[in-house]
Amino acid sequence: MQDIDVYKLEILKYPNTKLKMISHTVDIISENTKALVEKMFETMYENNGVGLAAPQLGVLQRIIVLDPQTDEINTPYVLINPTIISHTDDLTELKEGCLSLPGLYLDISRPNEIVVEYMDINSEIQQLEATDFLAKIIQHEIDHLNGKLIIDHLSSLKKQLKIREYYKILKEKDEESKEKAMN
Amino acid sequence: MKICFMGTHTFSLKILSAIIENNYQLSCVYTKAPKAQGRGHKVIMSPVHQFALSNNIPVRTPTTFKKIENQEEFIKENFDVCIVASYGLILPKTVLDSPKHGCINTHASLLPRWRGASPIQMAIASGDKETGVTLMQMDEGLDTGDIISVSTTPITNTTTSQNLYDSLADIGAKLILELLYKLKNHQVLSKKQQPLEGVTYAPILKKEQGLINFSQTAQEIEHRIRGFENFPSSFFYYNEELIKVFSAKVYEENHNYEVGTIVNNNPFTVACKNSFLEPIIMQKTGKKPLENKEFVKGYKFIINDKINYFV
Repeated sequence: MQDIDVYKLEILKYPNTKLKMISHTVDIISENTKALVEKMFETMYENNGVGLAAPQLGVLQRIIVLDPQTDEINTPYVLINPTIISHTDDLTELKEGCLSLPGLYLDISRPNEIVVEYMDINSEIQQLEATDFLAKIIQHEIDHLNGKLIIDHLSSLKKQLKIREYYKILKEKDEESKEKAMN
Repeated sequence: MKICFMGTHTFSLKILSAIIENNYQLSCVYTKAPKAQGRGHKVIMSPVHQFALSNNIPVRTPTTFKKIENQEEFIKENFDVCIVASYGLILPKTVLDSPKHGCINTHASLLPRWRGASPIQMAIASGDKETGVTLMQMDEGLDTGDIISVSTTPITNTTTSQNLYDSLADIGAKLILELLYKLKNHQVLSKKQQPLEGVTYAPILKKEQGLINFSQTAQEIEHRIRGFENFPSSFFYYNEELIKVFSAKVYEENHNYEVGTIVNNNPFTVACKNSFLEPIIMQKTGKKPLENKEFVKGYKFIINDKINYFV
């Protein structure tokens, strides 16, 4: 994999085609990968996110970072090549937002408990049992690695409505920022 | 002899029809419940379901065997043997132990290699030289039961998942007929434990497994292209567009190119690890599959550009 200039990276927003692509497995964790992870954390905290996937910055590599920032769990995680190896059958709903679809919040139902296998930043294979909020974030971010966004969980009719709503929110935000610039 | 059959996909259909053609009486067929699928979400019965109905065999379609009433319904029949072939549901111990000769599974690999969901595809994708069908006395583990009989078949460099699927189904049918003949004549089955070494697992295939990794050798990529022909199919990205590859030629040759570099655009050829890959049939999303030389007429690949390269 070629070296990436991490300082130029910015969050891609829907409908960028890169968000629909499938990411590559990471073979070697280089210095450049570490710089990328650092940049991902930085971007995530700046935007008050709880998780970020590398394709959201336009880098199609299977890397996700997360930090639920709740009272129980507030440790940062880096998961490289994550795969869900088992999950429970009971689904629960949660209102999810996404940095690539700013302003849109959707009820998504996903398994409540998962076991995920991944490589840590020291190239060691680890397993993590996650429940509730943490499990939801991990599944949301893994979806990004497979080119799937939260709107892809909806039926096609509902998806169209939500996309229209999203463009409206985007336009309003655009006008707001223009007004600010004028003043 | 009271025989029960469990199966869902086309793989099991050949085995089911072979059993019926040879005049064995089936008392019951289990298959997965009809599912709404495809364009218009039409409710479609599994091929096994349709075939059983047209032969006037009673069909049962439980959605799970976790429910006690489904288990009891099976147990009270007192079957002599239950034949299982790509059924799709997990059978609990009470069901496995109920028939006199237990449940016997037709698995499309040489166990213990490729236990799990996609043995046919993984055997080709990993470049195996041979594969086959194993009849196995089912136990609670994932394809861990004792081996009853095995038949092998070679994998050549033109074998695709589709034609291997068909020939393994024929082999499976042959093994099942041999088994039923033995049971009918009260012969003792010889069973042996699976070897502890050489265990590999074939996972449920996902779309992301189809992404071509050009840092592999062209031969490795070509194996995956053939193994994943039907699903998930192999693909790469160029100019943010998805292009599928259905077959390819391999040129073993050392070179100094970076992997993933386009070295020729007519025919379109890519540098891989110590080799070059020349796709034969390619397809752009929403278009027809085309031969390489036809494809490049309508699509501009730029020499020295890199494939799957982003940022």
